[in-house]
Amino acid sequence: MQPRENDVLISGIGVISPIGSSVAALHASLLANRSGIRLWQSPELSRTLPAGLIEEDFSSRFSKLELPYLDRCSQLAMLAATQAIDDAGIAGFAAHAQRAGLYYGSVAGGVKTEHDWVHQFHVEHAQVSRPFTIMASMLNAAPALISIRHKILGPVITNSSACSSSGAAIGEAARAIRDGYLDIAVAGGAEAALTPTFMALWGGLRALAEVDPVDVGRSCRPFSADRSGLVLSEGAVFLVLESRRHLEQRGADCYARLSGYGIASDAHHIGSPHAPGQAAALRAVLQDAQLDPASIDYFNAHATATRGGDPVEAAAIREVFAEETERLPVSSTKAIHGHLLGAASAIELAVCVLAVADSFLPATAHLDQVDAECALHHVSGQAQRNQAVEHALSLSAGFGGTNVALAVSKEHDLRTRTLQTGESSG
Amino acid sequence: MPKLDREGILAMLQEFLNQRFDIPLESAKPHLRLSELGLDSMLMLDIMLEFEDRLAIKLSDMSLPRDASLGDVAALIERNLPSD
Repeated sequence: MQPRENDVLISGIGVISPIGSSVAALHASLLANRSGIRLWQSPELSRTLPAGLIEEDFSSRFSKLELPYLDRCSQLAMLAATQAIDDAGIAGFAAHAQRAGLYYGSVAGGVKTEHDWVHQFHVEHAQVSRPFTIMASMLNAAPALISIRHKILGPVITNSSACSSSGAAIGEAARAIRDGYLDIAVAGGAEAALTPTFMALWGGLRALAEVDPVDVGRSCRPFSADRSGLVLSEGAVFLVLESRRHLEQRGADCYARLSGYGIASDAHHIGSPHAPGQAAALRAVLQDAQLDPASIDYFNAHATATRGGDPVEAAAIREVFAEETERLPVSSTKAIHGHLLGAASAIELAVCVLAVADSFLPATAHLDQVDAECALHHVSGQAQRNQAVEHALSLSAGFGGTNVALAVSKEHDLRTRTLQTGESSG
Repeated sequence: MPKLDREGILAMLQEFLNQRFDIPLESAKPHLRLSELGLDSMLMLDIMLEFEDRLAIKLSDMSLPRDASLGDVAALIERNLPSD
């Protein structure tokens, strides 16, 4: 495809996740297929659960004057966004005025702050909250704080469509650049909702995985015959997107090109995924990227490891890819990083970017026996190195029925980033 | 307990700002604007509510001048202290 000045390039990535808190650490964990799923427990909940916990208290990274406004969700978001902006070599966006934007996705926002307040209200009988509690708990707290720190003066928009929240954020940011409204955007999502109340809220759905009795790291088993449910995680991932013209003007390099965005709603059921909606998002992304199924070299599936969800997605893939399904390498990296909810699409897109940039196929871990209902060409066991990935797709399907697919393609005209590997996760 | 005077209140405020926000004692001069100390209106409101609890008083008059200083906050607390 001929390069166009409004093509969208990915020039920075920031990651705070259960499998690494830098691009290099995420890359190393994917190559080793190292699980970040750990044991989660709370004195307030009898059930012990597997979770993608990040075992670090990030509050020391902020001043005490900032912390009252910073729920853990906002802390993770601030750190990941700043990492992405630094990675892109951007020193602030003020000069871009309204041509720089921030697109954010989250499911629960400052949920710990909100639940702590609810506890104070009901148990301690507090009649008013502390003055900043409303700011810290609101869904758009994180993007507000990021925009303030980095002087992002254009659209600062929060998307919430459950598990596809950050996918919609990234897609809409890319569309704004491609349509000429923006030169540059920071886009991604964050979630830090591993509170007992939120875990128990999900517990009501009967869709959470059991702790694997032998190795907690194996508790999330997408597509597997013995999968027992999804594993909730925390984290934040952001990407810096910019137009080809803008990247060329500042002489910077990039990881890859964001080549397509497809979004489609099931309009079917609030909590049951629906293959036609997912297939519609996949057709939309292929059309948007001007790609056909035969040209896709890697597919990062949404597959959360629920009994009901994985076969629906497999059916959607088979419907769109038809005879190409036998060839299309598919994996769900949720097996090692779990479900980051508001940051799920963003981390899985980052996985696709790394697969394209470093020519490897990420694998589904713990997939010893594929469920017959999920029959696809699975990449399982270990990542496959030295596999050229020209185009990769990522699909996310949110409760409520919003499906988002994103395409990443190798960039051939501009200077691309050489990835550093071998760093330990953390 | 002897009645707190302006200097005593200011010392309490300085100590509190140091503990809560790591603002150095020597930096929290009474003439400095709250904005210069990094304190916005919501943080200041929280501090005043904390002082209501500590001093067992009710700040019925919470008016501060525009762009108030730390000294203005000390004066606000002082004028809300019970008269005896």
